[in-house]
Amino acid sequence: MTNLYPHKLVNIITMDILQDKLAEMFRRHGVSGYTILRVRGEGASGESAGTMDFEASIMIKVIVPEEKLQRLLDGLQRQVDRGYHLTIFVSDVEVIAPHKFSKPLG
Amino acid sequence: MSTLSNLLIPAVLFFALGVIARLIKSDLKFPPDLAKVLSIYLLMAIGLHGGYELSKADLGTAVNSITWALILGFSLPIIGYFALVVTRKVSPLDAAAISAHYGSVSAGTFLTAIAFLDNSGIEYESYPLIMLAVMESPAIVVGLLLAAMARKQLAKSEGRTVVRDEDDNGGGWGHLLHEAFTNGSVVVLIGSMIIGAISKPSGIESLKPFIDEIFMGVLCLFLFEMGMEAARRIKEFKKVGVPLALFGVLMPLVGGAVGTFVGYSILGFSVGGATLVAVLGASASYIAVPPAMRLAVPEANPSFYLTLSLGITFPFNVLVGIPLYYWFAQYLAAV
Repeated sequence: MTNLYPHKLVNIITMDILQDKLAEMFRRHGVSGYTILRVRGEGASGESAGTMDFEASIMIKVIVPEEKLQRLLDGLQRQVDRGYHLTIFVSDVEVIAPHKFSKPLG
Repeated sequence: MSTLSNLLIPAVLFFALGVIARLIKSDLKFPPDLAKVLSIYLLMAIGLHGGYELSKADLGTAVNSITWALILGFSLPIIGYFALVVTRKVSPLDAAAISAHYGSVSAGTFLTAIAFLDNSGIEYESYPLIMLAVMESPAIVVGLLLAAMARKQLAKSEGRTVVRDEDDNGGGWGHLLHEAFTNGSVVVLIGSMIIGAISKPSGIESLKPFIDEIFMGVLCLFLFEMGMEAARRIKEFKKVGVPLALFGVLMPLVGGAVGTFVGYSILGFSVGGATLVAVLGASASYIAVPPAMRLAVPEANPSFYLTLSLGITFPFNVLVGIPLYYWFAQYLAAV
């Protein structure tokens, strides 16, 4: 039988131009990897139709072991405090290969 | 001045069609990234064309043009900033972000002006093209400086110090300056100009269908989409308010007047060339500057600067400004 291991999935919806900045932050926080999707929608910062560069929205998904979560959230919170628009939510997930999520990005 | 003849250029009519399509809520939609593809093509074509012309140009005038492009790029945002701060319509950080847009340039407006001049059979120099490339970045730098100044003042008045963010590696000064000067459109434009200048004339000749024959058609397509984008901003008018919207019309008039004067009286260009310099002074960026300001000045409200530059100033310049600046250049030439 395959075992399942509890982890945390951090979802961040933000603007495309923050991608490099956040990726750099993930690296320093020892995150093992991340996935970026191009998304569209409407919210507090207006409609994001994604046709123009400056308003393209992305969703970043990061899976981390529970012990790395708080530091990552603190880092994200600092960005929010500086005025960047980030929608952040965390959910519980179960993974089958936990070693994949403990190895930091090179 | 015949305003009607300016409006009857296909490129301008397509811009209007884009606006109308949006207003009547048509389901018309352009594929994502089309505007990006089109603008790369437009900058490449105009760059090759201009670079080829400039290889035959006078070095002294070219250096003068670059100097004046820098002077305009650095001084226009400062004028805009003080106008906004003195009238107290927006916060100093918003003022910094908005004025950076007005010091920078809109290639779309510049190309529309070229369509206007071509259509009316008016000659113009190629030097304003170098100025277009040069003027993209300085205003971003000025905007960042103004924002840093405003941020410091704001912190002081609230009795706190500006904290440096330990996660700031991605948005630090070095990074932002690098972004300002290696901006995609600057690289495409300057690179194409160099290629145009050093290529063998026969090579440029073989590119004629690409750089000349389809150019105006692609510009129509680009302005068609930009018309829709501009109209999409109309519903944000309420947030911006009348005084600020007025800035979106008055600032280009100031920049246009300064530009015409620099082009005609200082650089000694023809009426057509002076009109192009006027457009550089009058136009506000909506491609290079918004992402830079979003990244560097997150405290500023994007709907202010986007609505102003894309929703008000761009349509104003395309529909009213260009013939007006041309008329002003003619007036300067007559006195």
